[in-house]
Amino acid sequence: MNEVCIEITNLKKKYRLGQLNSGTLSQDLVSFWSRILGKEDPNLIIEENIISKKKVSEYIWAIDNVSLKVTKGEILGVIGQNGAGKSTLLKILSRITSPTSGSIKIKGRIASLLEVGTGFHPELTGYENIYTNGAILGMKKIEIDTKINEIINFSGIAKYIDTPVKRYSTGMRVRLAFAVAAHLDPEILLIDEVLAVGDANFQEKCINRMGKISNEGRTIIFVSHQLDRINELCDRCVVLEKGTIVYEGHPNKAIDFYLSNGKTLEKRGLNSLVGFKSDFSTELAKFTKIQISGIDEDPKFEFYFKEKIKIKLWIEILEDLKNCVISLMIGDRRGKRILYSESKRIGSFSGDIQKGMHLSCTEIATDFLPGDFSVYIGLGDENGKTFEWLERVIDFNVIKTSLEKKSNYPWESVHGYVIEDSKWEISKIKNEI
Amino acid sequence: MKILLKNKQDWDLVIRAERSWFNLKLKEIWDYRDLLWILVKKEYKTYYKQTVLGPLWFIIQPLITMVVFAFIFNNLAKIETNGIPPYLFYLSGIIAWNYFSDCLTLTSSIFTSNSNLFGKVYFPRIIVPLSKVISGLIKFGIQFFLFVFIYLYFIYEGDIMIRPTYKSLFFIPLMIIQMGILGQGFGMIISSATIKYRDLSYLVNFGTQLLMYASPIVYPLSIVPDKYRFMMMLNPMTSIIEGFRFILLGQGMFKYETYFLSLLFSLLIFISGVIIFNKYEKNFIDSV
Repeated sequence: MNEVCIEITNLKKKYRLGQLNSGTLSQDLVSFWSRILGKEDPNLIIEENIISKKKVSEYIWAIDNVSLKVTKGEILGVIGQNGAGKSTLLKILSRITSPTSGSIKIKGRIASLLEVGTGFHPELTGYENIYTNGAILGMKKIEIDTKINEIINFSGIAKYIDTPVKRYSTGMRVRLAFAVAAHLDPEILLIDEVLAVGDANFQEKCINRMGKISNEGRTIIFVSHQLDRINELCDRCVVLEKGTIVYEGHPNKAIDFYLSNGKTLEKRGLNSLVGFKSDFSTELAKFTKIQISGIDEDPKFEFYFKEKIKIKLWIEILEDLKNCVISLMIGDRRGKRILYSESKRIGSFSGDIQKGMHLSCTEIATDFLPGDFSVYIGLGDENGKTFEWLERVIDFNVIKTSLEKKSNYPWESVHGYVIEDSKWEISKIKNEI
Repeated sequence: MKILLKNKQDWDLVIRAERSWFNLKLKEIWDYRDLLWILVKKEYKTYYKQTVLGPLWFIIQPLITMVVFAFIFNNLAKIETNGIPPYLFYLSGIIAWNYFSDCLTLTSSIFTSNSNLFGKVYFPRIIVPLSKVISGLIKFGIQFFLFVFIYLYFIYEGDIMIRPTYKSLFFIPLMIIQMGILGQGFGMIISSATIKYRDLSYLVNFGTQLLMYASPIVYPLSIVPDKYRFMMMLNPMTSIIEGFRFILLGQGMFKYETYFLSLLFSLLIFISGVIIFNKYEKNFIDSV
């Protein structure tokens, strides 16, 4: 083991921004002709006025000096925001596009699942499409011959295998396509977001298949936005940002790094929000500080099971605002929002806020199950306008131990996020089986 | 692949920015030969799906064209066919031209009609135009049998005017390959240009139709006045069609010198086609 099977060295990929030309030959010829005649280019007049004023950089480095080694048999996750270069990296790896500089050395057969079902022809039957699709993905005919039954069984659509694919539902197509791809048997498999499709049952099947592929000593590079999947499947994870690797390591840590945008999170329970990178801002209002605490209002970030949580927000209002709504969201560490609360419905908040500093306070009515959580805050008005929106301003966690000894959380695993006090009744039934 | 030897490991694949200038990647094409055959088969299966007559269209289409051409150009326009039975004269031209124009038009739309596929999976792109040429060749083969069948019928009926030029018969396979590479070469150049200029794809269908009239399909080269004949000979298809008829039907203006020029020209077109195709193919997906 520990044999390197992919070695990426100083990889760079440059893209040109904007339109390459007018797109039609006639217009380009007109431009070319006027240049020869020394006349003004009739096609350029409008554009030049706009473009020449703010000469934006014409190129963008989608991949900027990436070096990476992948060892045999590992599942490497790649995460990053949209446009961070994840897909470009996979495209270069799968040779759909070529790099501007740098090199990639690969050992073993590589196959990509950039999107399943490529090359399906609607008029051909499922059976025929298995061959076409398999061959496009790089399988030999003899390989498909030996695996065809397995593929059909895996897809679970054996009944419709002789029906033209055009009569398939989207789900059926995906099943068939993934079935082919899952039986590719490459040494290295590139996967981009394929698991987002298909029902839960089928997804589970795919995940198992991936695990099996990896146990057989094959390497998988997995690009996804589904962080829990990354966490579940990968041995190692890299975080891409603007074409460079900003973090490389254990998936859990990488996901935390990615979610925190690279900042180390304050964990004292009191956070200054001055200079906090806001995801949406109008300069009408600013959150300056946030505090999270129990009822005693002593800042902390760790809570007992079923302990009441209080949140205080310091807000600087720069202009008088009417019909305001302060909103608060709680999410898990993977970015999934699980609870929403807004000022309209909590307490005596009137809605109108005058210019100046304000302190808003709320006690969260819901109890949380043990776990790690993040707080999101926002300020807007009743018409749906947003003034300020901050993500993951503070983190807290809930432990299994309770303040009252008898109501500790007793189970090994946690299924869910919140707990509620619904009434339950039970009575004995007679004469019924 | 030179640097690799320094490392202890043998890499199977090295992806780099620069790719060699002219590289047919024959080994890779060989590795993907199954894909080539499957694509050829797919071409056939999908071509006449949901048609009643199915593959019969391969025969019906040239037959009807033959009859129409014979009626219009021979009966009405009184264009001479140099003593060759008009049906054979037109059919030989039609099947050869069909093959060439199929190769050309199908290849020229490679990038536009496969952008979805090319954007998702890697395989040697040249497989796709190759599959078009091979399926075109099979279609040509079927039509050629039709031609031979009608030919034999005419001989059986006692028309002794026509005899193949036996000693040059071996030129026929060469000409067939030549038409293929010429069509593919042109097609690859045009397909690369359509990445930038979509309007070229409209020009192709219309252009090949016009080009047909600039080739001796519906008339023999011998009726073209001398002063235009040179211009006609600039069209590489002229030599091929005339040669094709001369060898098979014993009538036509066929000179080895001009034929070899046209062969050279076809090779040149094919090589430049491959170079241009390779150049654009690798980054094509960035510009759609």
